[in-house]
Amino acid sequence: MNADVIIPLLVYLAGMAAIGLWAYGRRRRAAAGEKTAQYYLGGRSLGWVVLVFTLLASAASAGTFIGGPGLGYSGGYGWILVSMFQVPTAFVVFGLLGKKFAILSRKLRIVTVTGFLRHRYDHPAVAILASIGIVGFLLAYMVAQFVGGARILEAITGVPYSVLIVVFAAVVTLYTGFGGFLADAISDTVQGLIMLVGGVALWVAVLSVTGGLGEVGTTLQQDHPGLLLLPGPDGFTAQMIASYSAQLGLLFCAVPHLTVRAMAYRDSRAMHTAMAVGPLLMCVITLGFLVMGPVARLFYPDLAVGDLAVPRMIVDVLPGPVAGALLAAPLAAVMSTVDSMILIVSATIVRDLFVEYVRPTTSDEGVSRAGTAVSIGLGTVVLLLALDPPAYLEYLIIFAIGGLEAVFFVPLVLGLYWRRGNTLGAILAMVGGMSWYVVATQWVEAMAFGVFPIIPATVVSLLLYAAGSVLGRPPSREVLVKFWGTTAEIERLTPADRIPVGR
Amino acid sequence: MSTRLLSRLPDDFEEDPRYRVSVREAWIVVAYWVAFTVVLTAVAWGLGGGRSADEITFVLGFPTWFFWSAIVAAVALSIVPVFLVRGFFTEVSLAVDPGATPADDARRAEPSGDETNGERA
Repeated sequence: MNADVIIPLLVYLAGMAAIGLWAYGRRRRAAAGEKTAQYYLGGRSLGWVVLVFTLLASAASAGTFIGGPGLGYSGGYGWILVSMFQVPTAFVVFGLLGKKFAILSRKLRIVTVTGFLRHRYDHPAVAILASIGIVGFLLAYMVAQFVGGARILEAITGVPYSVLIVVFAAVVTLYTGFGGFLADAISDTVQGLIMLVGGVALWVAVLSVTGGLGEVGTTLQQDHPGLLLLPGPDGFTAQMIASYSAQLGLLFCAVPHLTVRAMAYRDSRAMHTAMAVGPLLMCVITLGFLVMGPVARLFYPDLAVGDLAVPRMIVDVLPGPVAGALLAAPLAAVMSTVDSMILIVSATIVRDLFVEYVRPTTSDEGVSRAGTAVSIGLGTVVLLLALDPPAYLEYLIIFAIGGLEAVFFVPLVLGLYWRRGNTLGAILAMVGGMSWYVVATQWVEAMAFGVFPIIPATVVSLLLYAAGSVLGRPPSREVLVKFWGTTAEIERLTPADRIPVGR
Repeated sequence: MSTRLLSRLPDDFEEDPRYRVSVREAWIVVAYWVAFTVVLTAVAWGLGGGRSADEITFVLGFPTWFFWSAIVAAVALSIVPVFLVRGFFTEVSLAVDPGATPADDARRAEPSGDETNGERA
C-alpha cells in the first residue's frame, strides 16, 4: 500500500463530497415548483464549461481510461483508431437533438427521455418499454463500471476491493443523491479537468523517460507486429472501423444519460460553444490516454491483463503524489459516468413510473424528495451487486450501450423531426431494433452482415418505424401542436384534439 | 388503409419558427459525422489496410496509417466544428414563448396546483 498514491485520492473524494453539499444547498433554495427540474436538470442553467465537461466525462466512461488503453495494449492501434470516433460526441449530441429538443423540454416540462417519448407517442406501452430499457441496461452498466474501476485500483494501491467499492459507492451516492444533477455536472467538470491535465502530464512523463516514441515503433515491429496492422488480430476491416463510428458517434446521442444533457443548457450560446470546443477536448483526452496502451509495451512486454498496463505505468513513471492525482482520472471517469446514470434511473423510476402510474398527485417538492431517496437506494443496490457481481452481469453489459441505442435512437430523432411518426411505429421500432440487436449479437452472427450488429438493428428499427407510421393512425392534433406549434397554440388545445386523426 | 396513407396531417396551427433552424442544423451535424467517419476510415484503410508487418512504416514512432488518420485527420476535423458553429448556427431564444408579454409570463407563473403534471395541460 502506498500512502503517496492514496492521499491525493482521499483529497479528491473529499472534494466530491463538498460539491454535493454545495449543490444540495442550491437545491433547497430553488423556487417552489422548480425543484424537480433543479434536481434532475440543474434548473436547466448550465453554461458551456460545465456543459461540455459533463457531457464528455459522462460519455468517456472507464472505457477511455482503463478498457481503451488495455485494448490498445493487447490489440494494438486499431482500437485507438475506432475509439477516435467518440470525438464528435458533443457536436452530435447537442446538434442532432438540437435547440428544438431544449425548447420542447422547457415548453412541456420534460425532464427525462421517457417523458419525451410519452408526450410524443402518448401511449403507456412506449413509456414502459423505455423505462424497462433504461433501468435494466443502466443498472447493469453501473455495476460493471464500479467493478472494473475497483479491481484496477485494488491491483495498483493494494487497498482491498471491498473497501474500495464501499468508499466509491458511498461518495457517489451521497453527492448524487443529495446534490442531484448540479453536483453531478460540477463534479464531472472537475473530473474532466483531471482527465485532461492527467493525460498531458502522463505524456510529458513518458516522453521524458523514453526520450521519444521512435523506439515504440521498432520494438513493436520486432516483438508484437500484429498490433501495428489493419485489420490486425481483432479484425478491423474497413466496414468494421466505420461501424464503430455509428455506435460511438452518431447513435451515442440516444444513450439516455447523454440525451438529458441536451435539455440542461442555459442558452444557445452555451450550446454553440460546447459544440465548438467539445470535439477538440475529446480528441486530446482520447489520444492522450489510449496511445499509452501500445506505449506500455516498452515497459511491460507481456502482461496477462492489458487493463493493468497503463495504471501500473502511471505509478512507476510518475512521482507518488502526481501518480495518485492521475489515478483519480480513471476513478473520476467511473464516478462521472455512474453518477449521471444513477440520476437517469432515479428520474425514470420516480418521474416516469411512480408519478405517472402510481401517484399522479405527488407535489413537486415530493418528487424532488423521492428523487433523493431513490437515488440513494439505487446507489445501495449497485453497491450490493458490485460486492458480489452476479454471473449474468457480463452478459448484460455486452448489450447495454448498443441496446439502449437500438431502443431509443429512431423513436427519439425521428419523433423530433418527422411529423408522421406515430405510436405504432415507435413500438415496432423499439421492440424490433432491440430484438434484432440481441439476436444478432448473441446467436445469429449472419444477422449482423459482417458489421457491428447495431447497424442492421438500427436499419431494421428505422424501417419498422417508417412502416408503422405510414400504415398506422397518424398522431393526434394535440401531439402535432405540442411538438411543432407555438406556446400560444399549445395553450389553446382542447380535449377534442387528443382524438387521433383519420378515425 | 389507403385513406390513411394519403390523409393530410392537421396544419391549422401556428408553427414555432425556431424549429426550422434546428432541422437545418441537424443536417449539418449528420453531414459532419459522415465526413468524419469516411475520412478517418478511408485514410486509415488506404494507408494501412491489408499491409503485412514488414511493410509498415513509421512517422514519429506511430504506424504511418495511424499517424495520418487517428492523429492528423482527427485533430484537423475536430477543429472544423468551430467554423461550422460560427458560420451556420443561429442564436435563438430557448424561452417557452419568446414573444411573451409580461402579462403572459405572470399568467403562466401562477401555480397550477400540480406542477409536475402541469405538462399534461
